[in-house]
Amino acid sequence: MAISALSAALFSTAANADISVSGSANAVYVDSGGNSQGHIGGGISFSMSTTTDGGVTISTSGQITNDPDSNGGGGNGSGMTALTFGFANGSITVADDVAVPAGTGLVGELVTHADVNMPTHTNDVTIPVDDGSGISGSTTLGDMTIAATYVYDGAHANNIDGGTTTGQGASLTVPLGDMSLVVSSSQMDANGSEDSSAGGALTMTAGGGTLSLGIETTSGDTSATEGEAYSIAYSTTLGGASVGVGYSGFDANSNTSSKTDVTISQSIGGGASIFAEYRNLTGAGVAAEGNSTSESVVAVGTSVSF
Amino acid sequence: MIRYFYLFLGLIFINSCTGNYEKNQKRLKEIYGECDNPVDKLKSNKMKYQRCKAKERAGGESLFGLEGDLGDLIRGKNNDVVYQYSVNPFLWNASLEVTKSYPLKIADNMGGFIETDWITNSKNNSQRCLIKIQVLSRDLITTGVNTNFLCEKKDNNTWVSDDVKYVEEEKQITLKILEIASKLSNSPQ
Repeated sequence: MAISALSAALFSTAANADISVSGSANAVYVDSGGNSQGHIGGGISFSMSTTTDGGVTISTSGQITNDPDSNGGGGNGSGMTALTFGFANGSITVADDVAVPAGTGLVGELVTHADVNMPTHTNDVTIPVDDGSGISGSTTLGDMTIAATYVYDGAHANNIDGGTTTGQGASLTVPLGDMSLVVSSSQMDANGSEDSSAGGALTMTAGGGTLSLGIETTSGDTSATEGEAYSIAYSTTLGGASVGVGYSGFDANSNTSSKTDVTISQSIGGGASIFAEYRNLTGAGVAAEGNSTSESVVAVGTSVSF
Repeated sequence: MIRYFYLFLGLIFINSCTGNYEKNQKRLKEIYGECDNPVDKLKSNKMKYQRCKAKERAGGESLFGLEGDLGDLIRGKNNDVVYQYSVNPFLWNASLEVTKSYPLKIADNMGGFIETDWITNSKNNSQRCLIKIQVLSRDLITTGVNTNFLCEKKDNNTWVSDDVKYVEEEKQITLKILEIASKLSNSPQ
């Protein structure tokens, strides 16, 4: 066959496994009301996969990182804590760090660096613990994609039958014409404190960009974060730049607050980009600003993908 | 509760034998982007999410790719201006080296595109393949070359796509190009 002829002519390797290496690094200036810091760091990611004779793809990954999103400088290794088994119509993952599908409706949260040195968001609509050692799976039914997660040890200690923090969640992604709807529900029990969340997001093309609308609700024993949030995001391109605007309104614990995100990025070729981010967090559900914190944070930087 | 979950996983396993999971995942990534696919839940791991976003940000149209438009804005439209585009010479020469055994249909060094003619094997006349290589970068970087490997099979004397994804072949060709390019860049001029 032509393929075997090509392979013989070009290559001599006989390995079945695939190991790929990629990396990224960033240098970011972050200003929080005059309190500025730099986020200089990066990471190397190793992705490994192989395919069994039966066609099941088994994959895992590991990382070496050096604080890409904080002003620290300590490196560490992580990953190699999950195995994913990929089938023709789905996948199953056993891992030390699976997460239940909480926060689905918070589509307006866009920034990745401009979220430090902000006052505490006391009425954030979220469940206190949403991940741990567990198992997750996803599959399709027609055009729908169903995913489910079970966390058996929120302490990430792989205590299968004795974890004190456990929980489960499921999500359903459904195409609706040109739109896509995702809904999710999660429940977690952290040492007897039970919290649940439900959310949904609708994503569609609009005006040359992508518009997302989301709603998130939480209920349970943690009264500080019990409530609902409404979120909206719009992303598009202007010239060669990618622009995103997001807004989330929170109403929890009888307090309101809002979060506004703006991002802009521009590729400069060679795997590099320059970007700017802005976040404003304000309202009665936000703690008072301190000497080193501000309700508005700006980040400007560059990131390189290798 | 856990037994219900294991029951659900069992159903997933059974359902996994058939279906269109990959097709659905591809469509979701088109809608949500590579980093925000709700099924992948990449946001739950901030490091992975940031790496993904860095790659996504870098994938857009380059600022310097807009040079002509910006120049037009500043200097006014000038149709006499010729903009010279080029690709990394090591990646380009390595791509030529890898495909030198095959007849070339297109070798556009300005656009960095190589396409072989159909490659057949005398032992199997019912299949033919071709290689498409696009050098994407002016720099010698691992993501600077993209390879496509396409094959057709003969069906009632008509050539039709075999609809097979040759991921391994494409990867091996790309790795070979990178290997040769690296050697070329390290060899004395």
